[in-house]
Amino acid sequence: MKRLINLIYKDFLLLVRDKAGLVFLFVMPLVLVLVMTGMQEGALESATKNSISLIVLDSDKDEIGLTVEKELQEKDMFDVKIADASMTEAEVQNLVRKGTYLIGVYIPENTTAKIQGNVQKSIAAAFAGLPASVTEGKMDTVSIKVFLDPTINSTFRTTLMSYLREASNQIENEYMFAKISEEVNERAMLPMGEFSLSAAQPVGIEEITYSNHDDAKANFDAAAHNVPAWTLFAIFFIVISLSGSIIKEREDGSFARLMTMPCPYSLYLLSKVIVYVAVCLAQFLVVMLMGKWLFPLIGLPVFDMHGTFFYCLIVVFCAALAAIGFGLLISTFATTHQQAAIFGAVSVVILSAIGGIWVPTFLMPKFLKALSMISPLNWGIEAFYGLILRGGSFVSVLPQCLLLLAFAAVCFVISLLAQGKKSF
Amino acid sequence: MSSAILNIEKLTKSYPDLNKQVLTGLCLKVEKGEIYGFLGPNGAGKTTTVNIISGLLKGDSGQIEMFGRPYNENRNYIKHHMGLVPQNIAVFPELTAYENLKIFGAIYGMENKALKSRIDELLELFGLMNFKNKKVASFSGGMKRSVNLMVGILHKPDLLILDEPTVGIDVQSKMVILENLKSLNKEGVSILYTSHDMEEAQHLCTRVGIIDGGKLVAEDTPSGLIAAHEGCDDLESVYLRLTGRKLRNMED
Ligand SMILES: Nc1ncnc2c1ncn2[C@@H]1O[C@H](COP(=O)(O)OP(=O)(O)O)[C@@H](O)[C@H]1O
Ligand SMILES: [Mg+2]
Repeated sequence: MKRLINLIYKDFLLLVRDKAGLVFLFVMPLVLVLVMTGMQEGALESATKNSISLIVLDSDKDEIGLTVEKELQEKDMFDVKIADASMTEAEVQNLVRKGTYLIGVYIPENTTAKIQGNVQKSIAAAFAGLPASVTEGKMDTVSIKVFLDPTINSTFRTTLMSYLREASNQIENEYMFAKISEEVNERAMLPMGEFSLSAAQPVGIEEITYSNHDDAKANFDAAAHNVPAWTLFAIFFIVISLSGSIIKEREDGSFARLMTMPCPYSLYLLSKVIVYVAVCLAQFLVVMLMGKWLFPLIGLPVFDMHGTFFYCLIVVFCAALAAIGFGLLISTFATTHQQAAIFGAVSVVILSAIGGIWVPTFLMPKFLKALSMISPLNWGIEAFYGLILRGGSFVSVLPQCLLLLAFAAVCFVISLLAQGKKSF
Repeated sequence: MSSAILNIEKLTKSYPDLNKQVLTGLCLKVEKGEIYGFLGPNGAGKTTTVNIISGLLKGDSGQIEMFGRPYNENRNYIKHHMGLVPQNIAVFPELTAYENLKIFGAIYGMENKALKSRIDELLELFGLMNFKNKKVASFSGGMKRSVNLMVGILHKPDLLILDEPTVGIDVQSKMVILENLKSLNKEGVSILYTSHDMEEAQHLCTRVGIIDGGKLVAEDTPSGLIAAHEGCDDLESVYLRLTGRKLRNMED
């Protein structure tokens, strides 16, 4: 224990003596978050031409269903998938909850028939000279359900809703006029009661966003993306500092010397892990506090974790271990610390780019979106989305956390095997 | 097997990227209380031997016993009771002299108070008290060597292994180091010491072994070796006769 404390003390001292390294670890993420949030605020809102994955389950298979399908397919904003008729509402709901699709549209059975029925009733009443109020309560409720992923920003949401409303109103009105001309043809000129087009029950569109937060305000904005994104970037950037410190100790002989002393290699590593996990947690706190307090002061969206702070810490912890494993791996195969620094920086920038740190994955073309899943930074950001935006329980982001831990484990095992071969 | 504090039997070692064997069956024995000079030209395999007995390298074949115990089964005990001063300075340059000594001492499990007074004692002895809280990176070569040495003797090991501890330092520092090794030896520390400085070895060592071609070519007290070689009046001439006058590779 005393040995470990002394090793930690040593690693801590080495870390704080490296002033340039500290700037990289703490100042860089702060600047990045600030700049990127400022830049993307607004830009994210107006991003338009993109394929947003959308699934339509049309259990109606009649006029209204077909019209909605057609309407959506015509808009290049959406990447529309028509669900198999055998699917259920719950299954569609689940696909959206899991994030497979960002939007799910469910048109229940007999929607068209119900609309027709409602139109018929109201017209019949009108022609019978009854006031509109008579039909109230006798109408079937008709509703189309829309399941939304919280990462869908408000522009997309509004646009989608207006498409759907337009499509259903159009159908309803067509029926109404068809019905009216029918009636008119049938009964020559009879006195008509009060009649208004709005008498028919309008089609309801139920909007369901997958956020379990009570305040249900979780909104995809620049802060909700950038704060976790650049925290993760910073966390993975420790690979440079970590692999640098390991290689320097190898070069100056102090590592070999420690190994001739009663200091097991595992203890040496544990000390590094503890110090760098602490660094990662500190990075998260610093960036998070900036998002919480500084952002609103300078007109940026405030960063809100909706009470998931401790779960976020766990995600940070898993990401930290993954980054440490990666750093260790780099240090094992790099011969000089310049080599490690260059490889570390380049690989982290690439992994973060494909992982959806710079640009959120849902704005990416399909093949990049698929590619993003190989990046540990993507697992991290998805876990944050799950907690902060989808309001998921910790269990819902467990797969991402486990992936991060598995990545860490693989890196550690490879490094230890390679190290074992060298023998010290 | 014997009372020897270090006993090396038929040790061989070759490096994968070097086609000749560096150690070709080295046998070497250091008795308790000795200052043993392990002498040989550059590239003779001294550092290789030191690295094997300090556990940084594995030998290809042969046996090693330390403190009367088989080496591989007693690594932890051996690590506690051995002190190493490597040929290349091996400390944390970004830490101060005090921090270095404090951390390495704690790794040896030294108790805090004893460690602190031992550090002060050593800093005083080597004249580094004024540099206690300065980074080692800012030290001169001789001062760095002193810190390198202090780390190895901090915990008063039973066996101290030094790999060319006096290379590249001024005469004053060299004297301090040699005097200190002698007084450590009086306190009961056995010493294995490599060098290619024959004058120094003759002055310091109770026994010397000369390695060439991967094994010992001679072993005795300095005076015994000089007496055994007719026409030689110091260790250097004995050494030259044994190892020849042709130029050795200048690498370490
Ligand atoms: N890591 C290594 N890989 C390959 N050859 C080495 C290595 N270390 C030492 N050697 C070679 O082994 C021989 C003995 O080296 P060394 O033990 O350092 O000699 P000394 O310390 O006596 O000067 C030299 O020829 C040297 O070039
Ligand atoms: Mg050497």
